Amino acid sequence: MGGKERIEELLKSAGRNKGAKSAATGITKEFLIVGVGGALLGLHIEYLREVFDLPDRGDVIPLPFVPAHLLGVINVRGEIVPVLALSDILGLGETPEGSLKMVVIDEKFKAAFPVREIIDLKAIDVKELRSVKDPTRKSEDHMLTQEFSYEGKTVGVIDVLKLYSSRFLA
Amino acid sequence: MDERGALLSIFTITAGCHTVGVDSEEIERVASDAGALSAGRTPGRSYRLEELLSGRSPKRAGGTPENAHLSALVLKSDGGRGGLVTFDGVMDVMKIPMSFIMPVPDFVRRVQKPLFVWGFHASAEGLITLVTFHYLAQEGAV
Repeated sequence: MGGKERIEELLKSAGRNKGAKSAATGITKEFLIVGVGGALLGLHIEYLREVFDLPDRGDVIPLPFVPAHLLGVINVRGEIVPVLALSDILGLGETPEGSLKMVVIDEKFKAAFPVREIIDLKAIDVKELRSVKDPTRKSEDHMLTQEFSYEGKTVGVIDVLKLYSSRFLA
Repeated sequence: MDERGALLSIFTITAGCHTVGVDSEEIERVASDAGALSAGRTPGRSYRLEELLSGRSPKRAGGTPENAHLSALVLKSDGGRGGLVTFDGVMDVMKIPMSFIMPVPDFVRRVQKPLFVWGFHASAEGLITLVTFHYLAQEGAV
């Protein structure tokens, strides 16, 4: 291979490599993927505190005189944690009655929400995150501002900061 | 509620599947015959505890205690008209250390209107839901 061909080959390879690199930044975020209502949601693990099965659905203690999106409270090792109907807040339909899996998040305070299914813990390249705009919802109620694909399905990313500053939790 | 002392004296009532605790300081007296009590004296608005626990509006949770309930708490007036809380469960008095009380989070305190459940106590028999009628009185419902 002559010098010119060699350089051209290297440039081609370099071009291919460069193209491949631009598709993935190498910067990833880890998400817990859960099923809530009929949707898949991604929760950045920065806000995740724990996931557990409730032994008994009666362990969620209902509270009187609270908004419908506050299902009650649970006792997590001596700490009372509010339980939110995330599916109601995000407009994803009814919270499943039989849901006994609980996800605890923490930003300004700890909050738990029941999920239908824990699906995966996945590192996603930030390049794979797409912005979402939902013109049907008010801006302040739109808390799934990003999404990514997972096994051919779309996962909505919960904007936890927006959730905590929303009218539901503020 | 006396937060100065290490112990809180609570009056516990079994109401449906709940065990409810009320700070003894809020109670003027307890009567085992709510019907006779309400016939002789009307201290203010009466509430059915089970209906309050089910989240029914305080202004709609009242009723005639003589029909279905056996016992009643007479609430201290605290500058208002006082009130009557009726229930049909077992009652007891116990003292619990303040440090063993799990308060509801600030978020719950903010959104619960009026504030009714203010904490929990894990006893050997199960979780006791600590309630206050003080804020019902402040709302003007008592």
